[in-house]
Order: sequence, then C-alpha cells, then structure tokens
Amino acid sequence: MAQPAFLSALRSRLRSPQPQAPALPHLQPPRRGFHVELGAREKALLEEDTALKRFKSYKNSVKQVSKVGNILTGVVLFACAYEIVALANS
Amino acid sequence: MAAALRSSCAAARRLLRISPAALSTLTAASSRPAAVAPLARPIAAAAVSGGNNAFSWNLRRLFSSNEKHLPAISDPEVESAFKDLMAASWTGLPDSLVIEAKKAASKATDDKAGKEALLNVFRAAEACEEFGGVLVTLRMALDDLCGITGENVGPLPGYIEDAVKSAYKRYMKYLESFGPEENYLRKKVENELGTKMIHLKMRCSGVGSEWGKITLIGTSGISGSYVELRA
Repeated sequence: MAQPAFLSALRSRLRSPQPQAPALPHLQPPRRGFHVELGAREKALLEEDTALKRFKSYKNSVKQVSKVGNILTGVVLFACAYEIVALANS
Repeated sequence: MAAALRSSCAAARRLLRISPAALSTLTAASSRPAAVAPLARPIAAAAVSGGNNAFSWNLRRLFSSNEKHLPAISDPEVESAFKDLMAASWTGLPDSLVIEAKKAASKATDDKAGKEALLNVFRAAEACEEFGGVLVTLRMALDDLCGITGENVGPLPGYIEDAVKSAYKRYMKYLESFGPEENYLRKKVENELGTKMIHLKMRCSGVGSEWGKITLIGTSGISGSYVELRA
C-alpha cells in the first residue's frame, strides 16, 4: 500500500530539480539532442502539451545513468587489478 | 489513374478497419443477443464494400505484386541504412544504427529521392523513440496507480485521463499526416507506437469508441495483409 505513494513521491522529487522551461515555445530548447532535423509532423507529435507535460521520456536520463554506471564499474575493476598487481609485487 | 486506384484502395482499407468498431458499438448500444451478431457482420461488410463484385475486385487489386511497397533507392549505402532503419525496433535505436544513418544522410549523392526517403524514416524513428518513451512513462504511472496485482483499481484521475486523450489525439494526427506514397512508413509507425497505445487501451475501461481504430492486427506488423482485410 505504501509502495505506490513512495514511488510517486520519489518520482516527483526526482522531477522537481529539472529546470523550468521558458514561457515562449519558440525559444524552448529541444528536450534531447535529435540526430536529424525533425519535420513538421514530427514537431507536431512532440509538441509541448499541458496534459502530457508530466509524462516525459526518460530514455536520455537512463542512457546517461547507464554510462555513469559503466564508468564506475570500470573504475572498480581497475582498482581490483591494481591491488592484485601490487600484492604480487610486494 | 494509378493515384485514384491507390486512394480508393486506401479508403477501402480504412473503411474495413473502421467497421469492426462500428459493429462493436452497435452491439454494445442495443444490447443485442449473441445469436444476432454473426448475421450483422456480413451485412455491414457487404454494405461497406458496396457489392460482392467490387469487393472481389478491390481484393484482387490489393494483392497485386506489381505495386511498389518501398521507394526505389539507387545508392547502395543509402538503401542499406534505409533497410536497417526499417528493420530495427524503434523502442531504443542502437548507436551503430544512428551512426550509419547519419553518415548515409550526410553523404553527397545524386539519389535525391532515396536520400529524402531515408531522412523521412530517420525523422520518424527519432520522433517515435521519444513519443514511445512518453507512452511508456504514462503506462508506468497507470501501473503505479493500480498496484502490482491490481488491488488499487479505481476511477482514473483527471490528469491521467487528459494525458491518455492527448496521447490518442497526437497518435492519430501523426498517422493521418502520412501520404499515400508513404504507406510503408505509416505501417512501421503504427507497428511501433500502436503497440504502446494497445498497452494503454488494455489498462483503461470505458474508453471511447474511437479507440477501436487501434487494432491488434494493425500493430502486429501484418497490416494490409489478407488476414486484416478479412477481419
């Protein structure tokens, strides 16, 4: 019973540090770096909407977190290898 | 003449796709017994096709193998990137595919039509990846509301209802913006985004009859085939 409330509170807390979008829609920067210039119908599909504003895509954030996790894993593996080499030398 | 035939085939396909929803609406509205339902379906099908002869004629035209399903691309690198984009899942575009598509799109080639087709597919893939993420977030919010085993099922809050309606309007507007020569791209987008719309549809009851347009067959990748036309 408490788990959905905790998850929604966690989601709202994670969402609140995001910077506020500017009021003018044409001055708004793109939410993620698209690799190609979007057409008119794609811009209409991804236009900012009041109802869909709180359901943004988290794919970019997930990719960044995964990348950071990979870096940390590499650091840990490097530290283990360094410890093994140091023990072998001494 | 070919454009008229193609538009008539597309109109017939759209009408055939709409008629099951109309039938379900009629059945739900009049609370008809189950024995009458099989009789109503052939009558509606006959009325939609406007006669048995025209229906068989339309079917024969729809099965023609001379019709071009994909645009003609003469550059092999652009064609390879195009086919890789059409074959990949757009839930998450892999980085190798993005690099290949960017390189093929920025290449100086004399095949302008093929490059334009590749750019169209690339734009659609990027947009569907983003909008698919929005739909997944909406579905996860619905799952959080209902609980793990569905013990918290209740009336839908207003903000989620508005979000579901807005998502449906965006999806339908995007599907209807494709021209008749871009039917391959419309089917691909329907396959990618329609699956997530079906997930939303399965989690909400009491949705409007317009949600009948999002059919399981349309999102399964066999859109336009014989199975769909007989449905």
